[in-house]
Amino acid sequence: MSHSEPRVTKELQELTAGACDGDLSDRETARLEALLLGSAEARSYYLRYLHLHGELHWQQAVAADTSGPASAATGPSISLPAPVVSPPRRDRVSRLRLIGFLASAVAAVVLLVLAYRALPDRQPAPQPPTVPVAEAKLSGAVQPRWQAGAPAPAIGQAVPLDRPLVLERGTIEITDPSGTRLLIKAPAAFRFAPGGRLELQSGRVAVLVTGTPSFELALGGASVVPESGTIGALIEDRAAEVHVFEGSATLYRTEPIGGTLQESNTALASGEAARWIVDTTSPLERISAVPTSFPRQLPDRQPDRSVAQMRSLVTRHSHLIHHYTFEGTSRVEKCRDKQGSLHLTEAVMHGGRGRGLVDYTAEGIDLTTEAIRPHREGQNGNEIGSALQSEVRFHCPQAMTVELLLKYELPTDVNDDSVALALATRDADVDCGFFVAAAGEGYLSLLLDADADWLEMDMQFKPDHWYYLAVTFDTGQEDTIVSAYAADLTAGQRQLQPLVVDEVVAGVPAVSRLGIGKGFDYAGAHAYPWPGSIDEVAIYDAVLDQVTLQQRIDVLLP
Amino acid sequence: MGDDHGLNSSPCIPSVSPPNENSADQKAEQFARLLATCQRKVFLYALGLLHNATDAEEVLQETNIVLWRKFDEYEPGTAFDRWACRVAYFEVLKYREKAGRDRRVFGVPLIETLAAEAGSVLDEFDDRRDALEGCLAKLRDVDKALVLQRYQPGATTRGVAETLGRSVQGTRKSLHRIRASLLTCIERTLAAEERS
Repeated sequence: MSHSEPRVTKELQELTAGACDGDLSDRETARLEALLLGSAEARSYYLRYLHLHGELHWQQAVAADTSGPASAATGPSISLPAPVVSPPRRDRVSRLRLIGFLASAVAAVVLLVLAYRALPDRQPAPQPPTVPVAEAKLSGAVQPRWQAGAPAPAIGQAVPLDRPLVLERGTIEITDPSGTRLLIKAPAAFRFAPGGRLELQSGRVAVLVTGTPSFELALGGASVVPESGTIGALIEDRAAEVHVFEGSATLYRTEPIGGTLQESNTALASGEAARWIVDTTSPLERISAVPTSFPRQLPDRQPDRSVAQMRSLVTRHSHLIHHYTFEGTSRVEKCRDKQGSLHLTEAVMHGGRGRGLVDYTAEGIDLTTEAIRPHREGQNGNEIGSALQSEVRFHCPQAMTVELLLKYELPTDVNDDSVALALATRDADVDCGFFVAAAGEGYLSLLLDADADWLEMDMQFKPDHWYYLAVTFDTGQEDTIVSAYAADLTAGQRQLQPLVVDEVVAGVPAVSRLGIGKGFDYAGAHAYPWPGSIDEVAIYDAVLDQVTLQQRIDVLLP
Repeated sequence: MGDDHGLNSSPCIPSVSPPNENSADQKAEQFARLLATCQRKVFLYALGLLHNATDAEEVLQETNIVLWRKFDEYEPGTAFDRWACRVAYFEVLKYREKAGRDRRVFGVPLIETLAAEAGSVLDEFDDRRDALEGCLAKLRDVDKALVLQRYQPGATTRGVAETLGRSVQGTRKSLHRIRASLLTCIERTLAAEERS
């Protein structure tokens, strides 16, 4: 290796791993190719890593093919060419004509048998810990996120039996062998027991019975057997409820009857519901069934009004120059500028000594999107964390609009009253471009000249609310004309609110790397991470008017 | 070599008599034996050039067919695996032309270079596989379960992440960490064997 060749860098390792995972973008593939062409050491690492990847792939393929009699009979998945594909030699055609079929068939069998016998490692490969399974299967899911460590099923797989399952996000559908469907909405904790019994510890479930009922629901010290139709059940705040929307169900429970505790059967018909305190013998309380409180079907992945619709509208705008949707299966793809070439990279705060990870699969405002969530925490009076910034400097156009969706969370550090930046640049101790900031207990603010006063707007972020924000900049020689608009999406605000219109702000946007979920301190170090989630950042080289921006809200909110 | 461990035969030189020209069965049997001994090697070779397991499997299938068609050109007594890898090389080039219409693929110069350098890794592929088995056994149970789950046929990192309820990014990092530790373990094992 020559001295000029690079070593095995972290970038090479990540790209090689990405190649194995099959999720390299074209740009990443080109980058990997350049690294490999430039270094024999890189190629050696790549080939050894790919060899390992291939060995693991091959071993598991063989193990899977030899794991059962059915598959063993047909040999490995990598099939061998049957001799029938080869034309017989001409001088033997006449002789083979009568026995050709039989010969070919025999040869094919010989090939398969020999190939199978010659395959390596017929001893069963080590398997993951086996989990006993019920016959009920996970038949559908929308944006599920299971608690780490739980033996969670994949779509089409059987639901693990007798194991606690915690659904942190999303909605799932489970279908039992009789065709009865269960819709469970997060957050929920439950367990499947043998014999078709779902033990609900918390959360909401709807049971849609079809065919012969063969299912039992256990919750709060009682059992419910749905007989027909659709029922809902929930456990929240130590209270358990059963609602019958259509059909009927029977509730089995121990209750005080005539001064003694007795097993009781309570029939619930359509429109009826019952409520009791979990794990007590307190009397049942009759209430009205509320069908809207329970999932009746999996959510629509592509609703007419959604972030996906807004994204589509944004993409079509002729003045769009940078677009960060944070969608994709890889970190690199999520950090890719979908419109220009101002791609993002991860940055850790406080002189590169920050900690915590950017969450690249943070929950978005709806099911058509995923957001990013920078990390922010206090350390010795400083706020440190991780967020994103552009790989190269961002030259702000003279006329510019930035828009984004964001959620503000109260910092966990009670003494944390410092600035949080969602979009920012900084070129020097004075020249900055804090385009979207939260300052002074969460007030939307911006700053272009560090020696000037902040432009603090009359909008305080409500914790955990999603907002649509747009800020326009018309840059002059020494100052900038700014307008800002916002809508509290979580509150259902459908009309964009002008916060400031044509306000003259001292300074001009600084040229530097673009921070998303972070900014820069006076010395240019990473600083001011955003406490919350950020999504759909779009930058235009024009000042968009309120009517145009309102169109985003019109297609966004259901 | 034993029938059950045919691929353990490193040289891939036929140990049976040359095929009898008058016997299609013997020819088929001979071919099957040779082919079976080299399947893994050809797959690994193609994977190194294409870095995509599905693509490598397709190339392996095409290579097998070409090998059968050209089996009469094979000189008994020579290394069948090298011939097979040479055929696979041309199949890779054909495949990259097709795949290149849909996505970015490695250029011919890099594939040529990788093909030339892959031999040194493949020459010790039996040793590497044996070392891998030992290294897999040393993994923590949770890491072993994750890596085996990822390499189940048809599994993807995203699918495994969803199954485990973990983030795709976190699962990808975990897999890379495990593969990196396996690679280090393999290199260390091979170095120790070389010293001894």
